[in-house]
Amino acid sequence: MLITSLFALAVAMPTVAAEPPKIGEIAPEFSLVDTNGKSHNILDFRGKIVVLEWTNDGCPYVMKHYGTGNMQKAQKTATDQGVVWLSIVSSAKGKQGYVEGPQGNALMKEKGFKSTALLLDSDGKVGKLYQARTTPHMFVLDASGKVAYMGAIDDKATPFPESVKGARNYVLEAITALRAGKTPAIAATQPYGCSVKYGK
Amino acid sequence: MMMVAATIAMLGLTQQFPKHSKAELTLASPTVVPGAVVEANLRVSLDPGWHSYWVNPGENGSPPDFKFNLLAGWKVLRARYELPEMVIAGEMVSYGYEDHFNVRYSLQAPKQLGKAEITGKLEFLVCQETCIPQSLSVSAPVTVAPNATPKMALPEASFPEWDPAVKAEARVSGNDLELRITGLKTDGLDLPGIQLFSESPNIVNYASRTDVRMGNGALVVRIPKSPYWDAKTKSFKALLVAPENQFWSPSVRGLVLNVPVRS
Repeated sequence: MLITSLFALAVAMPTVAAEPPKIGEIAPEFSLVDTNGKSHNILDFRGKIVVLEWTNDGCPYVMKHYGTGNMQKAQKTATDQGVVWLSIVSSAKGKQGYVEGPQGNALMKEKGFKSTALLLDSDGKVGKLYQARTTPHMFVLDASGKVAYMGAIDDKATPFPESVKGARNYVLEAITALRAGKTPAIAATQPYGCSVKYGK
Repeated sequence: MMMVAATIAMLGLTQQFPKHSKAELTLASPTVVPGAVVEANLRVSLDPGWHSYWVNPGENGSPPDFKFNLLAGWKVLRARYELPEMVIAGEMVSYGYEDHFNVRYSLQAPKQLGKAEITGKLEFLVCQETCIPQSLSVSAPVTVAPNATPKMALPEASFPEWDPAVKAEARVSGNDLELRITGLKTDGLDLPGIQLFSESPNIVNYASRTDVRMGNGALVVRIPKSPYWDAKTKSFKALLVAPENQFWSPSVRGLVLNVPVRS
């Protein structure tokens, strides 16, 4: 049991990398445990496009995207194309959006997540490694593990649901470009949303 | 499938959030003369400890969205937001307001005016450690009159002004933007306390300190540019705000700048 716990702790520790993610460079390596206790290492997904989505279910901006079905639709569109979509919660215990495994599974079921997994990062190490500042904050990695896009999910920086209609989804654009062997036309935008609720 | 999507959309649209703000719309005159311009003030009061955002919210947050519900023929000629301040919450630097903010509107009434009713809806965001969307409806009753009546005082607030004598231009210098601003009266002003608020997004790095000095008769403002700076940027809008209780000219603390970017 102790060994299992120590192993879980070890795989939850991100690889030490002081550099923040940069467009065109290999994304920082990390491992995190999902809501079912399964460990996911970013290296396991080489060869596939990977989306990282920082989320917090109490944040009005996140609520906009899940309340309208916009995020689930994007997740389904992506995963149907073989993309790995990792939703990540970096909220610290006691802060808005914090979830543990069972609660995270219930959230995924209630909201109809279509992501590959919901990863738990309550110590915020992976969020800080990626300099995730808002929820949502999105990263798209190409099949070689390089950062192809980072920033906002779309061009409507508001928490009001009606803004979803007609929004330009930068993440889906990046995926389409990568699948066509191209570089995304827009590689970086200012993320919008609530601040990530890191601990001290 | 369509019905499920529609239901989800409705849930998102009808969600109710707790209120942490109040809004009041007042007019400079209780009567409106057909064809005349009437000044209106929207004052938004925030609960203690909560803050809200300017038209460019900075690193996070959202700008207020106010829509008048005016009868046909009315025009909104101008909207001016009260001068913002830096709001630092955790690691995020925003442009916004604490306690309250005002927006001043100039409305032109139609020449054929049988009934006057000025209403509107404000949607905006208030934040403390967490953020909550607010949706407030306001109205100001008015009557139509053939002649103007004496004006009433609107809530006092510091709004930005345009001064045609003040000229600004910017150039990119490495990772910085350097603005040279001429036509200012800076005597007696505490230069390090002068602040630049970019109204356009993706221009400046909000978290960085602004360096202000005099050089060759111009005010020189140097600030790191945004990590999302677009090299094709030709111009941007900004506010130049004097330190608290200091002014560029009598009662004018904030100046509107239209800044061309020199390559």
